[in-house]
Amino acid sequence: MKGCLTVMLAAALPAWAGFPEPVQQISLSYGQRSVTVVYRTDGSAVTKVKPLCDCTKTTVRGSELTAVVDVSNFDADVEKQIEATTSDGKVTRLTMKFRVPPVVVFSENPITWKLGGPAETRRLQITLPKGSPVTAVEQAGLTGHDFDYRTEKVKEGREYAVYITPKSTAKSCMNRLVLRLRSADPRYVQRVIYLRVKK
Amino acid sequence: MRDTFTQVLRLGLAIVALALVLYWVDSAFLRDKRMPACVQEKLPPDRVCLDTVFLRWGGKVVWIDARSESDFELSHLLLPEPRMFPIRSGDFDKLFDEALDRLQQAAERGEPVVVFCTGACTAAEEIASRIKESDLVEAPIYVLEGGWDAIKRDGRLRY
Repeated sequence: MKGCLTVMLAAALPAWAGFPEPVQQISLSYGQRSVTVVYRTDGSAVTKVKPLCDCTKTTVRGSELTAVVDVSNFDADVEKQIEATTSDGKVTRLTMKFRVPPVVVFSENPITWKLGGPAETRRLQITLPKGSPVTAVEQAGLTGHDFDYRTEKVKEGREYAVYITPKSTAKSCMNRLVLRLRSADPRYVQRVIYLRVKK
Repeated sequence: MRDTFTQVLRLGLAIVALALVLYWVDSAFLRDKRMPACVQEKLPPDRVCLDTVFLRWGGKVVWIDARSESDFELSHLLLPEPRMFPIRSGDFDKLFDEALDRLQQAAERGEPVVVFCTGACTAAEEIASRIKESDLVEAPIYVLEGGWDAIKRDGRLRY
């Protein structure tokens, strides 16, 4: 009878076992290349794992699932998932929410003027966060001829501004303001601000 | 009579055993790899079946390949005009800018944008969401159900 009860309890255990924390928030730092995330069940063993991203490699030891995520290509906040099956047959989607620090912050992008509205000057603020691999804004150039602009260095290596004025708002147009940035990482040497007049 | 009954019983048991083995092989090794038929009505509004791409738009859509660079280099869609662009996380700004003019033409031409990744992945959703958030593309944006696996299996698109 006692043995029977033990078997029944053991059989019932997986029914309530699962991952107590299926969602994890991870804040990345500049230049970080990988992250290790550990998920634990509250009892049942992990029997099958399916990462939903090539960037994630997983290993399982009993009730512990370890995910090593290659974050070197993450350039904005992103969520990655893993499907894990436990011994009770339950499939849980584990989520990793990555917060990726921006290398440069623009006050707005795209910058839009209303078609037929006032052709007023707008100020674009460019901020380089502390620790960012971008260390300066070196140059700005416009592709197109529909806007005038002038740049201002508010604080070298930290804050810049660009004052932009459309030549006319009578017809729709879009130009690109191309910023050349100083960075050792070739991925960050250029950013584009879209300037447009539209309905 | 008794021998016949025994033989029938054995045969029956053998069939049941074989069926169980096949079921186990299918469950353990094949089920995950087999792609269920795509039913448009069962999908959320921002996802699309490959059949729908052909039925609704005659295949004339702008494709966004959100797979990794290595997967893209290995094989990708071969289309007659600029109708396919790789846009992936890591190079998003640059690749998006390269595709932007064509993506903006899509709305004028009545073409949707369809984003895909390998199959069991979330990169396509991520890229689709970033394109929407850019507020620069007016064409409707969908994620292809089944992704690259569905394209390969279907065979109508050259790659």
